[in-house]
Amino acid sequence: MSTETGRESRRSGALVSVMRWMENLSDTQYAYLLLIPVFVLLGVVALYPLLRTFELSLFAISADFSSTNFVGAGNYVELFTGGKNRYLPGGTTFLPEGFGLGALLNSALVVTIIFAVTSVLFETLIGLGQALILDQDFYGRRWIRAAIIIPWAVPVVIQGIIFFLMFNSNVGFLTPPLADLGLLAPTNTLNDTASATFIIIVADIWKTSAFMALLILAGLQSIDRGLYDVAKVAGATKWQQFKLITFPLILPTIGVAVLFRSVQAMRVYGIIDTVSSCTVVPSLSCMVVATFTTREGTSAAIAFVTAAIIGIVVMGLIAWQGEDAI
Amino acid sequence: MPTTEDNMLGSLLTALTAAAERSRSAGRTTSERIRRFETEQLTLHVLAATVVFLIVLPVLIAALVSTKRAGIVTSIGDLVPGGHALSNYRRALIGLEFWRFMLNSFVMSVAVVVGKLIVSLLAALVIVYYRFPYKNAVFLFILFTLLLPVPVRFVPLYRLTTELGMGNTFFAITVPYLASATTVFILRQHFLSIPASLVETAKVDGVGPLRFLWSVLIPMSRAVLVGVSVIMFVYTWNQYLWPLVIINAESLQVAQVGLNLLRGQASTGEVAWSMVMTGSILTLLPPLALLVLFRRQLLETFTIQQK
Repeated sequence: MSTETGRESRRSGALVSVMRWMENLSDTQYAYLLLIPVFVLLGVVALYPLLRTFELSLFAISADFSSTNFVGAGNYVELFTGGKNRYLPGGTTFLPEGFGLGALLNSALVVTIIFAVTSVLFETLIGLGQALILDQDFYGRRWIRAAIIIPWAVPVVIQGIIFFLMFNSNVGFLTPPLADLGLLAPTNTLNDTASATFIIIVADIWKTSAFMALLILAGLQSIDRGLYDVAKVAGATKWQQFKLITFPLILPTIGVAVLFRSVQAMRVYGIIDTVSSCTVVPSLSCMVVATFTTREGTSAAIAFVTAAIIGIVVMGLIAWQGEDAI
Repeated sequence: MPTTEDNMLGSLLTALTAAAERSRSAGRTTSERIRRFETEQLTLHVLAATVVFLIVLPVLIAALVSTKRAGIVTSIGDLVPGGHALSNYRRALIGLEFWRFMLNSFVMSVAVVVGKLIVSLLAALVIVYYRFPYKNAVFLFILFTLLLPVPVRFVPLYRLTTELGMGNTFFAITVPYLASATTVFILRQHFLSIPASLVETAKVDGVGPLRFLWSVLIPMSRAVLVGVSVIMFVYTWNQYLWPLVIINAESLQVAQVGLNLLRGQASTGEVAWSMVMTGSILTLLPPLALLVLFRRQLLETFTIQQK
């Protein structure tokens, strides 16, 4: 230690004086010094944009940015009363204009919620199934675990192209068999809202189930194996073991996984843009992107509503699972 | 008295386990058990193989189509490899300048990984090892950004970047990605599992935080650092929307956008669909290679998010 200090003191110049200054800081000062980079970055790329989005959402901004009028909550009021629908692409709406399937699927809010709920539900169920298989001991399971995360590494553009080609009604080889089952429209499949929404949900489940499986697997492996031996002695069936031991113990893990996935699913955009289009399958993020060059105030208001919905989902899940979840 | 209770529970558990072991071995002959074990293994392998096959199928189809001439797949029978692999890949890389898109993506991803790692390591170090006022508030603030949907940041960030004159630069596609709540979160979770007494000892010995980070924490967290880097690389490599809107010059564009350009050309009939698949496989190779090379570290890191 003493040779170290001896060498340090022989150096001179700005670096040493900065080092010496840093050494004399208290713990608190030092802690904040090291946090400066992350604060600055988060401030510039996250906090500032959030506040600015809120500010922009209070203004009516014309398409050429020449006039900016303060309208207060006007954008939000118009959004929820249907006045903004004329700016949304392809006749889509923000809230549904009726309760028929067509009207529901034409609404960005409803489509986003349908997408999030359905895809997260199936991803959790399939992920749980995969995790239960991977939790068993068998030869080669490490390779299989690596293989199932492949879809996670597949870029959304490629995912989109692959699903586009598989389901395109002209060239896709999967459309005819599924259309025979009545699941998809036989022609113009990707321009049919119900079919395209279905395909996009399938694409998302394909990409993310394995990710869920890995998260749940981590929870499964932390369960004490002795519990199962006790259960076997007590004569519990496999189903009872799952219901009384496995499921309650992995519930917190599932909670966190569902939380992360729901936040992601609520902001779906890329897969819609690459497989179909935002006019066929409207999502909230789609509406933000579609309006931000022409109607900045509207775009900001939709963005802020999206953030608020995500905030509510997160708080709901945290309340359900308790704070330990995070 | 919780300790006595724990002890009692512990011994009960051991006794029951031993009993279970006894009853199991008493019930069956060895050959019977082996046979049963083998059937179980077989079922598991069949199940696992089916799952893997379904998962990898779309990627396999893409790889197959990339070796064909036209790339139209209308029936299952069309799914045989063609003989145009070499010419397709050469044309994509050189003729359609995919090498340039991939190089841009690569430089962008490496820059983001290095920058993110430095920033997040500092933040995680501070959050785990220092006691200071508002510590929890700081962590919650960082976590809060995790929840911000990209589109919320999109509009102002676009304005800010273009107003700074950075619209069409390398700067625009790297700096906005440097702050990452996910990385701070994963590193924090990992650092929590390293005993706090280490940092106390270091403090007593007069070791500064940066030195502690460099000579204790980083060597102790190699696997997780590699895993988190792979996650960050794949995430950055796969970015599409932001580079699309902020970069106009084609020479600066990234692989994902290049691929979608190619897709547009295929829709209008300028290139064959098989070329799009060739581009897809090229774009997929770097993340896939990292996944195979660092699967162990990656799996370890994925499981950390839980603790």
